[in-house]
Amino acid sequence: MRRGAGGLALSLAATLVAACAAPRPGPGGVADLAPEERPADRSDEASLWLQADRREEQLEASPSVVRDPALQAYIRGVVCRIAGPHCPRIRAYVIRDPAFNASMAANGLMEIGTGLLLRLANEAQLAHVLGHEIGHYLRRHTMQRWEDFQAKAINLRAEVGSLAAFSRDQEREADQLGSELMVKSGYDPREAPRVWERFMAERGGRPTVASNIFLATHPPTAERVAALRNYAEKTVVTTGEPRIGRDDYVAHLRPARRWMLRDEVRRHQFASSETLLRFLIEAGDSLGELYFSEGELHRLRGALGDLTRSVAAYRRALEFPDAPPETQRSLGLVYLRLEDRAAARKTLARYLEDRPDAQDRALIENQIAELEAAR
Amino acid sequence: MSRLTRLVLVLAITVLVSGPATAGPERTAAGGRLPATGLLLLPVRVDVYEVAPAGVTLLKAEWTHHAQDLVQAALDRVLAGRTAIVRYQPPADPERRDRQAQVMKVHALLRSAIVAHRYTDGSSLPSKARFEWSLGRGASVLHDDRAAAPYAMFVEMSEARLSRHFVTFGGLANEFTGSASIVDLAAGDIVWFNYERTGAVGTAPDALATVKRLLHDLPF
Repeated sequence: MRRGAGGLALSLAATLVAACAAPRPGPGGVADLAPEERPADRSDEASLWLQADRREEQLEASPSVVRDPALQAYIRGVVCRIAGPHCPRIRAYVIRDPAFNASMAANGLMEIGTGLLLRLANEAQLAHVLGHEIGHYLRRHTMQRWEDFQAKAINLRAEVGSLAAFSRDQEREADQLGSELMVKSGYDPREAPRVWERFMAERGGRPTVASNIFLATHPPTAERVAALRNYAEKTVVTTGEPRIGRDDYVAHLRPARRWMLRDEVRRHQFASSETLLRFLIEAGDSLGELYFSEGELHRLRGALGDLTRSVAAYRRALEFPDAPPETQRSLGLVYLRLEDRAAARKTLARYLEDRPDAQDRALIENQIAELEAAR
Repeated sequence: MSRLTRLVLVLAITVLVSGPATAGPERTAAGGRLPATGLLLLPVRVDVYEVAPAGVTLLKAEWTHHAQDLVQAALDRVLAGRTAIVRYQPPADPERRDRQAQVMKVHALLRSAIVAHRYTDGSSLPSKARFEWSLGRGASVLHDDRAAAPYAMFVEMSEARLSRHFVTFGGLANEFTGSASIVDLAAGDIVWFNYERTGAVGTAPDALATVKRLLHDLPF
């Protein structure tokens, strides 16, 4: 699955290499992968696996991979809980990518973007996404998509719309299978539609290329929400109290959250980030960091009234112990832009008091000296 | 002066300034004749693609694995007796393995740059008349503790075969590229390099002929 701002938009190449979503027998009624199964070397499926192996070779030495052992172990644990006997074959890599992205290759190589992790509220929602991706793997969607593409290309009827329709069917199938897997693993299926409701809220109804029903590789988000909600209402978790796992999820994400938030704000997708921050602030964890990020968002956007809003957000951040030390620096720089020199001088001096080892110390000292000279 | 004349002049000057592309091996002054004290042979990279009817390529597993075996056997035959060959083995230490992977990535980038600027007509760099390309001293991380091989060899080949479903109207054919480079592991310099656009790796005789052509005039 590869979700862009428009919702899981896939390039043709990505469509063929990385599948993302759900169940149906596919052309020819392809059987699900067995736990130890490897495709025969002469098959096209083995070739798709080899392409994914090459991608994995690159990832293994890539600085984009997040190598936090605790986070890796946590994700691995959830993968194994959902994938059961397929667990050894699913290799999940967390990729430093602030977009809402996840993908599954034919060989079990799963990539999960940090932007997606930042947007999930709990372990059950993570289980939904992982289950969806594992559904692609089990149903051999990459292979099915390749065969579909080949057949249409050979018959000179490779209409993009037809390929996209096939992809949308697979996404629906993966949603369904992902929900079944999460329920089977004891997770609360009511969390699945919430992932997409939040995604819709972030998009704010903005049209995108992928929202064109003929070209979109994924079904409309509202349709997915309705289907997932319908499934959740009809499903009873029989393994005791359904698991949501908010505390565990938040605790494992917390060490990475500061830089994830910075990556998010630096995307310059301000409307989307603003909605996301509102959700996160409502959830109430790490409020100092969140209000700081809100201040940064307004400072970077610099639209009418944004500087005043950033001051309010920074000041709110400073009410919490987890406000980053950079809050004082950013606040001081905004005061400068607002030409409140006294407040700027005082705030920048406070930043240096809090961060005696600041790397930009000389620069800030110079700034303070200039402010004092102008008094 | 007509527009056509001006265009011809500009093209002629461009070719004169940039120079013709190289055919055959390149080498540094130090790469003329190397001591046969050992060569670390890095994993040979052979990719064989099928070009599907719509132009999409698929890295074919069966063809690639078969070609890898053929090329490896051909390399063993061509290099036999020239110098002591040490086969690369990834180190157990993950940090060292990662540093080695980075050096290999740098080599892949340099290889592309060399092909672009030494083997492509009209693309040579005016400031790089001599063959001088280096991975830097970090390349020494590739040194194998088991044997003192002062040089390392990288070999890459890629072949694209047209699908049987492909209807050709002329001009389309299988494509091949291959390169080999020898790196001085102390300085990181690429002391010998060759690039070929013709070859095939589908059968043992083809693979042997291709490897012989690529490695002709080796400095060992």
